[in-house]
Amino acid sequence: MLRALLGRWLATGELPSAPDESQASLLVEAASEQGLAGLLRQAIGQQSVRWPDAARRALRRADHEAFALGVRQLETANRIQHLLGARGLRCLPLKGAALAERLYDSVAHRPMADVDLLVLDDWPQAVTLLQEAGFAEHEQADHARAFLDPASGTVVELHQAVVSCARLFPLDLDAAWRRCRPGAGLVKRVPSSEDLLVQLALHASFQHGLALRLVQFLDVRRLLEREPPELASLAQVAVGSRAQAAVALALEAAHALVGAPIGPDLRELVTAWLPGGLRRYCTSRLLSDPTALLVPADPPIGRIRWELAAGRRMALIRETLRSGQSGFSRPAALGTIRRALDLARRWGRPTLRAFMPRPEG
Amino acid sequence: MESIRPRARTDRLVTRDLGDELLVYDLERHKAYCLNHVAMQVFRLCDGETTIPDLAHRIGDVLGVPVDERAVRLGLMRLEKARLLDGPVEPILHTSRREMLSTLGRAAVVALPVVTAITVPTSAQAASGCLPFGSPCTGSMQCCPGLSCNASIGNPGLKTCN
Repeated sequence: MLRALLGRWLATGELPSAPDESQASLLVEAASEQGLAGLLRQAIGQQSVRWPDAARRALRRADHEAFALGVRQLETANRIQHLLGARGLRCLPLKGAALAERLYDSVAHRPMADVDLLVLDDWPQAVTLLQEAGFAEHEQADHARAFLDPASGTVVELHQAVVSCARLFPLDLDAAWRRCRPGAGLVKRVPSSEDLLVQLALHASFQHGLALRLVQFLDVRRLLEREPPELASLAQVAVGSRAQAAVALALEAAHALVGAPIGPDLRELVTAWLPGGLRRYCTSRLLSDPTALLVPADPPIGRIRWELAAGRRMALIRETLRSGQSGFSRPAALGTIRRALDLARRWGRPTLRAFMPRPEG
Repeated sequence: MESIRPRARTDRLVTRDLGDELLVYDLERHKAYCLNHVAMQVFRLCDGETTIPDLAHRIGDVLGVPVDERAVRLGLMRLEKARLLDGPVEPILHTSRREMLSTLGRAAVVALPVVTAITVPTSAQAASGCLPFGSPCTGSMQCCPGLSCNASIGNPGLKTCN
């Protein structure tokens, strides 16, 4: 309910009313959860709406903290771009780091949990350089490793790919670098609008099964409004990286959740790119209650990935079960089995539910 | 005292003007501050050429109320403590908020400069929503979709979203 109110505010500009302290407090909590506290504070100020003082104070505090944290995170991104760049390694920001300064009036309006950077060149050397600079590694996944910045305490995710199962979506990183442009603030180089939209879409659709915060769907809307991708170039990037379905799904979700504008030409692409299975998914889930998808939802990642990989599902299974061990060996087989069991535990239930027909009414 | 011409720092600072307050992030020290409207004017007008009495006049003009020189000194002291001034500005006559209130009366509070440190959240939890990959956690519900709270690969004694 609260998320739906916030979604409607983003889509229509109509601020949710907060008749009393408890309702206001719940809205502030939901706005913080969805990454919207700073934007809500700005909107309340601009529209001169009466909100209880306690809620205003909570929003003010959240806004101040988001500013400080955001600047700290982007300064870390800046330092890493310089550190790697000095050794000839190219890297580009992803997600929030790539757009906070260009699509929002303040970094406080686009809070980030961490800073994501995509390394375009020698990945092992980039990891070594960070470690030598004192960044402490504390986690790793298929496509990224997380480090802690010794100077600021910021969490940095150093990516070797935008999503896991990277071979399913072969991005042309050299072309992305040729298309990238100087950033407007602390981040020195940022991806082109077309690359950014494809990256956001892959992250939203494939990596998280659309279970994101509202502000992350607002990213898509702001990109379409403020720096609209050139459609021929977008098509080239999406087709080249086999990400058409992911882009179409993310655009449909952003349209349903926050009113992202899809003009006639873009609509034509979305219609052509959305496979039948995902079209049915959109009809049943996205159009009925899109806010049910938002964090902290348990998304049907398995089903969405299955639909996104239409025509190359064997590759999806192979990539998903890769254990990191090469060749055929007992450790590799055990690793694959362990991974399959882990994924079944994590994704099994919501995925099975998503494949089942929804009860009428 | 007449000859003191304080200068505000401009290098390695990121500022955000909110109209009635100014947020400042110090990239050198990784500290953030909120300056109220009086402290913001003191900070803005410290150009290295304006004396304290002139600062008081100019700030008074901007705010539309008379501003006492002691309020300006208090502001400078607070900005200096936050290391937002270029170099030391001694000898600023040290004064405190309490002294100001006792000598100028309660009405002076509207023209008092306030510099507040902003606590910068250090963990990924600061951004609310779900915890991303690698964040310390206590249960899988905290983690972003696709992740669960398990023993860390690098540190089995620590649970992280992975």
